[in-house]
Amino acid sequence: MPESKRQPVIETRGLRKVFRDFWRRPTVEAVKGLDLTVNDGEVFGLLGPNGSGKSTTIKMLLGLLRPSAGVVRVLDAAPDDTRAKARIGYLPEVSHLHPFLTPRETLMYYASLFGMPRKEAVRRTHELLVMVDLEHAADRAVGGFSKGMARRVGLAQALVNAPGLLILDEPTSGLDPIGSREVKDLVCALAQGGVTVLMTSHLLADVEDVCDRVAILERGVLRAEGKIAELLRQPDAVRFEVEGLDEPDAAAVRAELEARTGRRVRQEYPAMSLERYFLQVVARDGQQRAFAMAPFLGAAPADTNS
Amino acid sequence: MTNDAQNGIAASARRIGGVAVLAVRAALRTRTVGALLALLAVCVLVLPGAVKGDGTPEGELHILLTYTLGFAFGILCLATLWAACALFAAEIDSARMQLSAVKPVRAAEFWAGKWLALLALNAAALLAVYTGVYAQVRWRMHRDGWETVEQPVSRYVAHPLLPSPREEARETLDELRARNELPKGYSERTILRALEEKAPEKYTEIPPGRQQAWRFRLSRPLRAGEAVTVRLRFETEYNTRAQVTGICRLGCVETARAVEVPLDDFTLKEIEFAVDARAFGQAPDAGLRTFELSFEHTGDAKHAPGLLLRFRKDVALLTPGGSFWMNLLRAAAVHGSVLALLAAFGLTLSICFSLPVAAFVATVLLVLTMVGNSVVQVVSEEDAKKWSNRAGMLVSRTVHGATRHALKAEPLAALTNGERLEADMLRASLVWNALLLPLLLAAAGCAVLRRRELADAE
Amino acid sequence: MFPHDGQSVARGLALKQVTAIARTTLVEAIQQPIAFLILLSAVVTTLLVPVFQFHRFGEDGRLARDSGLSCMLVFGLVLAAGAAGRTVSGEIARGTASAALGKPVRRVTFLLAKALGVLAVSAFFWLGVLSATLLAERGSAHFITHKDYSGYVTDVITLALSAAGVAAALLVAAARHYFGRRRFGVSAFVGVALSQMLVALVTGFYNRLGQLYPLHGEAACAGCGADHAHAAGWVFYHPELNLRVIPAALLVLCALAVFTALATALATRLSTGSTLAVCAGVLLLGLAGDSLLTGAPFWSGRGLAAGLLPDLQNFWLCDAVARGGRIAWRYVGEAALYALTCCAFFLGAGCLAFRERDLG
Repeated sequence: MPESKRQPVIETRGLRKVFRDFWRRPTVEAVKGLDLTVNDGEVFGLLGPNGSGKSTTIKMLLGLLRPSAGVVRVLDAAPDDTRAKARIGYLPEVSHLHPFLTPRETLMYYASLFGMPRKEAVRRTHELLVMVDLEHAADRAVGGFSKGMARRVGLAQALVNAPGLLILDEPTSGLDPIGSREVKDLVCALAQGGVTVLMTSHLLADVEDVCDRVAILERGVLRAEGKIAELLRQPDAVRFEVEGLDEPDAAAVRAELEARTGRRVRQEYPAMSLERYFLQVVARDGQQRAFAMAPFLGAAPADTNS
Repeated sequence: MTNDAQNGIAASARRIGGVAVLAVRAALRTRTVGALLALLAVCVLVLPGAVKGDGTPEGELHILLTYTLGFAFGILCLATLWAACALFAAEIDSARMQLSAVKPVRAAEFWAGKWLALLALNAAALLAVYTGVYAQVRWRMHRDGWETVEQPVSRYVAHPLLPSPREEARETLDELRARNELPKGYSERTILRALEEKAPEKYTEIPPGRQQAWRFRLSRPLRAGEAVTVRLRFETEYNTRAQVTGICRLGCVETARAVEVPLDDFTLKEIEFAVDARAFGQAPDAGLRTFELSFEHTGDAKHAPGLLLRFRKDVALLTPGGSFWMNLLRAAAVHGSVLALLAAFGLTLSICFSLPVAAFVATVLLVLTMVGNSVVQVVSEEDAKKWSNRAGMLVSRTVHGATRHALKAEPLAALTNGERLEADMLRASLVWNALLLPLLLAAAGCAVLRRRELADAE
Repeated sequence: MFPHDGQSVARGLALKQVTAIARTTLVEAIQQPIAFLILLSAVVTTLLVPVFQFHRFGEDGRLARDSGLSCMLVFGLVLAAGAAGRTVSGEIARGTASAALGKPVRRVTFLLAKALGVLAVSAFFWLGVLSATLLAERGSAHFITHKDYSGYVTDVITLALSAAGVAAALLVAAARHYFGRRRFGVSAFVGVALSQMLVALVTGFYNRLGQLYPLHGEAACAGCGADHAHAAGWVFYHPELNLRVIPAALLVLCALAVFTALATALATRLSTGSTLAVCAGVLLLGLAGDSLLTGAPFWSGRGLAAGLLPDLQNFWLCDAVARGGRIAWRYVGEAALYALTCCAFFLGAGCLAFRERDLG
């Protein structure tokens, strides 16, 4: 879809959040006049150091916090509008699951909150348990789960309604590289299916892998916003990559380039990323599963209200 | 109704059901509920054996019904209140509410789901407790021969036809005014209110030689083969009460026939005797409904003391009114309605405060309600006028005014006396405690929940 | 290095650890709003008894005293059990216990320090409520025979000062919170307790009729009910407080110590709610033990219960203070020894339970 035709899914104008103490005196201004637009079908990354206001912004988008000033529109509605909420999936930074429930019961519970008929809820629960690879632990209490397993349950509950807008707060936090890769693949697959994704992360590599656009917040102020490719492009530098070039040829090419440009040319032997190496060595199964779930995710309805 | 609306209602019901099921699961999977059930089991199974009665079947039955049910109900009240205080507060404190709140669930649906869960748990607990008590009554009736005891029955109660407390208070006020004997320093309104409050508790003396008559209209006509029981309760001087004798005459207005019963044992504070309906002759088509009871104090004027009676409470005609089991069920319904109110109250507090503060406020208000209602009944106007007591009386009267409808029904007293819990009393209890007041509390709770921020600065 | 040097260093370290953990527990416990609310309720209820005089049988002082001690026991139990539950089971749940035990801290040291911290909270609460009880008894109506007046006199000034003390403590706490951003709960908890102690000391400067000292003996003593050694001569300072209440209150403190130990032990395995429920059950059984449990053979259920449960009647001797009675200090000492034994038993059991507890 052309950029200009895309509808804004999230829109904030002059958004401010001031936390106050008991006497109503301001203590922290977490968000300072934020203008943000996230368009339909986009994977949008919200970056920033700790305390930059990312989570506060997300909680205002979800109606968990009330803005001190400014306007928030999510799916063309106010954040506490239940019709909009029906189309949102949310994964918080910490999963906050009920420890006495099993994953199956957890998903059935959240499905019921969407008013889903029981048959459909059972089917959807089963699909999601398969997807997050927790079928074997579906009837064990979540309280005894590792952080990674709890995160998978959290992710499944965020997808229970097949959301049109998915909000992920630090989605890879607590996950091992395999889980992290799977989440990123999942985000890409969802985006291909038309789902709009807003995610925050400290891990810039994660964001770089999956996001179309990013915004960088610092102390509640928007410092930069745009497409990743545009933000990271170095206009005065060009890089070539050639496979199978031997040392003499490489030296000749470098000399030729230096002669033509009159500048020094740097020669590198690129290494595989540690993540890719780890996945190759350790996680062949994981990769296969991650790829296997892509078609299923692609089949998820993009914009449905159960 | 359109399909959309029907789907909307069904989806809403599913959401409420989901919230309720979660709350029930949370309750059943914690040790606290196990401890509560153990405590209830001790109450029902051990307490009746541990508390020593007076050896009479009536005394044993009194313990079984009053102590066991009273303790179990008290435990359930506190458990319901505190559990309700935990339901929202704990979920908000642990941030679990954040996950639920971003789903398309209305504040009222959250509230209703949790309230229904508490209702269901309480219904199950009450049913178990009442069934246990009923089983014990049947067993003791069989083992100890309690068939002779009259209390495990259910009887309609008819009180004398008297002017309403307000009318009586107004008459008394007019008389006092005419005699220029109105107490100084009080407004007429205060005196009227005091007279009205005290009217049901007002004792009238029947001295030796005096006769007093009352007229009754039964709510349901007496059938042939049934018996009408006369009940007189009284206070009298302790040392000389053996000198009291009297004659009771019970007459049926429809058939103009009366039965005379001489009474000579006033050593206990209550006399009951039954008269067969056949004694009043052939009943008309409409049945026997209007009765006149008179009591003549025939004791020696020099030695016998007078009898003190509260006409509205102490004189009654009792007629068969269904089974004891049904009366137990009615009592359980009244108790259930009070628990429903407490659950609603706790839930709303739970939205406003953290768990410890909500539980504390709830307990303080519960104690205040109990104390306030007692204070209003026992304090004299003289005491209430003191500067130091004014604030206390203001609080007590406010609490009494706010809760008197909710706490009007006294199911345990009715069960112990073998009195049928009246339908209007039951209805009032259900409407006030399980409907109107919870609705009011739900509205307040939902308004706060909608405005409350469910996350904080991290 | 001599071998005992190492031991003494280890002992010193353990002592430092106990002090640090106990201090943290104390501060954490009184930071909770509920701790302040419980103290406030106990103090206000105690002070209200002499104010609302619906019945007067010449025993207003006794009523005030008994109510104060009852509040001390019941509210104190809730405070101790709640604080122990929160600090032990709460820390296990939150993972802060693992963080502490990740350091070279022994589990026994950790648990004992927690119990000491909670006991310190109870002791602070006890001081506040004891002061309020003494003030309530002094403030309640007493029959006095005095040259100016004979009859029932309510010491309105003392009651007003006590109420003002509570109000002042709340205002100071609010001001500290507003200006210094100090925690309201901590300031209010400490303030309310201190205010009552302070007012108890101030009452020594005037008599029940509100006459300021110095006064001559006969005029000074307005039916204080104490020994009248001061009957002659000038009196400059005479707190007309019934100090015979102190031994009775010390016995209640012993009971609170037992409950603190019991709650700390239970909290190693149970949630706060369950700990509170069990403690309430032990309170009821302990008070009713005389009538329910005595006389049964030791190896019967009732006999075992009688043997294992603390006999709380040993700590409830309010009646002994009535009509000029005194509780012998020797008895208080023996009761304290009994309480210490109970504490050792419960904490020993708690340490065993905690040793086997997974903290992951």
